[in-house]
Amino acid sequence: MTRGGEVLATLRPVRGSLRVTLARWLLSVAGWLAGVSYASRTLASVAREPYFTAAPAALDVVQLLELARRLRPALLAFAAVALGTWLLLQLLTAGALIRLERGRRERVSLWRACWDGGSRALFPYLRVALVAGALGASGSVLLARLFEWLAQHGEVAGWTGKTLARDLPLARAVLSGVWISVVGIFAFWLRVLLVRERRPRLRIAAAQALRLCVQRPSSALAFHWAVAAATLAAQGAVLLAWQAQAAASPAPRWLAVWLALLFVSAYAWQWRLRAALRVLGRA
Amino acid sequence: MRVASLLAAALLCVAAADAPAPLELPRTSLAYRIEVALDPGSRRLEGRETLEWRNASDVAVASVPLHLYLNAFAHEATTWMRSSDQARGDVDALLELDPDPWGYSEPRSIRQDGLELRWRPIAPDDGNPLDRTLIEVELARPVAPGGSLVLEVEWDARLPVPIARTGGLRDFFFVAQWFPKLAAFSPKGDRERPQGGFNRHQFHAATEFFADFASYDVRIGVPRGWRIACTGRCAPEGGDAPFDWYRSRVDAVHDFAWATGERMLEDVSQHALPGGQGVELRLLTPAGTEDQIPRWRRVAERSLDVLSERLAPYPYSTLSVVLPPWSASETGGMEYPTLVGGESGDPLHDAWPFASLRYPELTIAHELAHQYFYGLVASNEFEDAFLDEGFTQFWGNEILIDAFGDGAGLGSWLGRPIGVSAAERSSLPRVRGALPPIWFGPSFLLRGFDEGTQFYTRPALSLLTAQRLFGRAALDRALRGYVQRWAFRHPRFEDVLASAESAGEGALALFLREAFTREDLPDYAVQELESERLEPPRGARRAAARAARLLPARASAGEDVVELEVLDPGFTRERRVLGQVVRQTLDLECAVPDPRWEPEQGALWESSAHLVGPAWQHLPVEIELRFADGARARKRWDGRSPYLVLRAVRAAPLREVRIDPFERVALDPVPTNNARLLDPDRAFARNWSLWLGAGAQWLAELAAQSL
Repeated sequence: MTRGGEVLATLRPVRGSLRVTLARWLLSVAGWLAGVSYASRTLASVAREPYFTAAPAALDVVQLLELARRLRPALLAFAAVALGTWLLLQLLTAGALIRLERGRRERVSLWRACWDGGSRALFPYLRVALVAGALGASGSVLLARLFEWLAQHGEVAGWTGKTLARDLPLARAVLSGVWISVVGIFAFWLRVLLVRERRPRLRIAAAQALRLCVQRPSSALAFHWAVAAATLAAQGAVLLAWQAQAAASPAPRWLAVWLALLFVSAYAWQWRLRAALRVLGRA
Repeated sequence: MRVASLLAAALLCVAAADAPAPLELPRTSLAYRIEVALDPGSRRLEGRETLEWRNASDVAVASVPLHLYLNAFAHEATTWMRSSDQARGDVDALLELDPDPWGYSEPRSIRQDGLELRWRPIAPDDGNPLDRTLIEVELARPVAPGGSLVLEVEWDARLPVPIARTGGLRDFFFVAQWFPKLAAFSPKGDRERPQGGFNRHQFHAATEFFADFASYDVRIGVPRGWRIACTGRCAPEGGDAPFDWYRSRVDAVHDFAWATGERMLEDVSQHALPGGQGVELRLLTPAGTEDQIPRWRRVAERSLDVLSERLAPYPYSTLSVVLPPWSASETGGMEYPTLVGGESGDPLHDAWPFASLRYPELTIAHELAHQYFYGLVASNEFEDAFLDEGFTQFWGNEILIDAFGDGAGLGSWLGRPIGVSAAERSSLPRVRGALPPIWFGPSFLLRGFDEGTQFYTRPALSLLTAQRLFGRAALDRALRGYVQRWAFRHPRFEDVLASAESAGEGALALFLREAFTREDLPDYAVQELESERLEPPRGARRAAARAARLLPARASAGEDVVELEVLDPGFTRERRVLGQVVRQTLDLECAVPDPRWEPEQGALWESSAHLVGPAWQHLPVEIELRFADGARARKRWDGRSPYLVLRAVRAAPLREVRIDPFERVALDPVPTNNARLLDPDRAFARNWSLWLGAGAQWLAELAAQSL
């Protein structure tokens, strides 16, 4: 079987796939509902102001900026929800990897796997996050310096405003995004490699992950990058369309679309875990 | 037929009477003859000027001050540099562009009747010995009242790299404040002067320039093949290697600037003003931006039309608009008589996501409005910066509203419209503390407060509020009278008020005086709105029963009126005005009822609203009450007391209260608290909460994928 075939083969669900997907979906929905709850509390006073509620069409730029200003107090709550969701995701990731790997040979409860395996893997996973954060930030800073130098050179050389004020910042944002997402794939592999280690060693896992990405760029790097990017892009596109069409389309329709998309994203995440285990010969 | 002809003639007369009178260019007591050549490699100007000035005052003049504005950019310790909040950042950026970015202006020789004169730098504003933007020239022979002075000046100047709207680099130069300029002369009695004298001020970062009207005869040498635009009309005089020579003769202007570049395009067109006069419109823009020319021409023509119709016909025969290249964008966004700099001409304006914005149009409209407020009505920009900037900001916005409407006049960003008035209003500060009054100064001493707010936004929104409160025709009458009376002169703010009063707009004048002298912004707010079902009162049995029987009388006003109980606490100014509680009967209009409300037979609702206001003397507002059954009532509040409490009893609860429902008070910095609903709009809250929750979850997902 080709490597591409290997990856595609893991798209078909096996025992445990749907349970893992459901758990991931529930976690996303829980995070979303927590965000909804904080947003609704912050919006309670805004919803009594006709400045916003009686706008004839969709809010204009000035109104949106004013709304964003009013939502600033909720940012801390959103960040706390994101952190809580992320911590639970670490437990779920470890549990899902254990369930998907061992579930083909023996009965393993997902919740048990999350509890035992997740709690064992949590500290190493936090270290992975620190490493990924440091790598992502360093790369972004380097890119920022590079583009600052380019912009300075461009100012002296008389480049147009289109190049200096649009193309360069856009290129920088895209490259920074690509770098951070590649670091994210690296972090993903660290988690997959560390989960089964009784005494997880980050440096060895890092060397292994790098080797995998170099030796199998399509199945270890490109595939994961594409699925993660497609998932985020699809969610982002739905969010934009939802906001653009909000005045014309009722919320329940978008609710259904969003929940469905979260499920698809959860399944894609499960697919990535299985594909990674397959690359390692463990699934 | 005869009656129809007479009627048509009468209508024409009325229209003609309403049309602003044309302005005639006056003779001036000052004249400049200047010859200058630009060396772009060294950024140097070598110039000679003859300055002729007639002493129209009743005092002899023994010395004269000359402005050397370019010396503001000679080093870091000039008054301009010290007073600029961004000076440090600007200098660092300049040094990155060029290791020697500085500019200067230095007279080589100043002669009167062939005699070499002595001169020295002076610093009357801050005593800065390192500032040479103003020099005092001692005359060999004093100029008697009615006498004339002729000065021959030779000087060297170097333009800085682009900074603060002047300068240049390599192949483009915007040459402004480049020649030794005589300070404006204020006659006796003006600005509380016991005697006439020159208006001596250094160049400060927060303010601009001030000079007398003069005639200019200027000969300019630019590198061969370079395009040029200047004050007046730059007529070619032929080449004399390595230069092409141009000459401009223009009367009754108080400044002269010019712009030249190697890779620039020129577009010349004729535009007929509403009154029929023709103006030669010249656009200078970088090569490669040809497709943008119609866009800039349209807004320039519209600006001329609006200003000519509402204030006075543009009196000059030429107008030039220069869009500098991006590398010199610091030189744009500035006004000179018959010449303006817009934002940079650049492909950026055609590129997503900037193509849908109209800030470049706003800049052109703003700078063209300066042709009137500053160009014609030449207020003192050192001392009264708000008098030109604030008025111009208002007119720039009016032009854009006229051309594109208010709701999306500034274009759109990612599909969402940007309103002109809304954007202006959103830049008001929301500080609770005191602000300096708009009308205070001199403006160059402003520190610790935002210049944009003080000189631009607050005055512009004060004028917009006046327009909305008193009507456009009223404001136009006031400002037209001001322009007609003070064109080619140097007015002060008192003259604006006097012009308004002369035009019969006394109430408008009172409002403007208050708006320009207050230290606060007028924030009206609905602090609370409540409505409860009216229940029989608890109490001693018989008394309570009697009260219960009388309850319906509290809502006895009838179906098409409402009785409003108004608690006004009064106010104190020079004396105390006692408050009181009065009952008012207001007519009700019918509108669409709230679909969520169901009427109940016999039920009554007692509603109350607590409104707060800024307690201004001359800023009345309307209050609109909307009841759940669709009935609406309006009442006027003079706004003089700090709060108002309203109570009403009706068969339907009060669902919404709006202060200033027609948004006349553009100066109110917090429009969000001007109206309040009794109950939150659940659909709004639900829809936004769902979406915001999804957005937050997406950001969390993004973080999870990255870590």
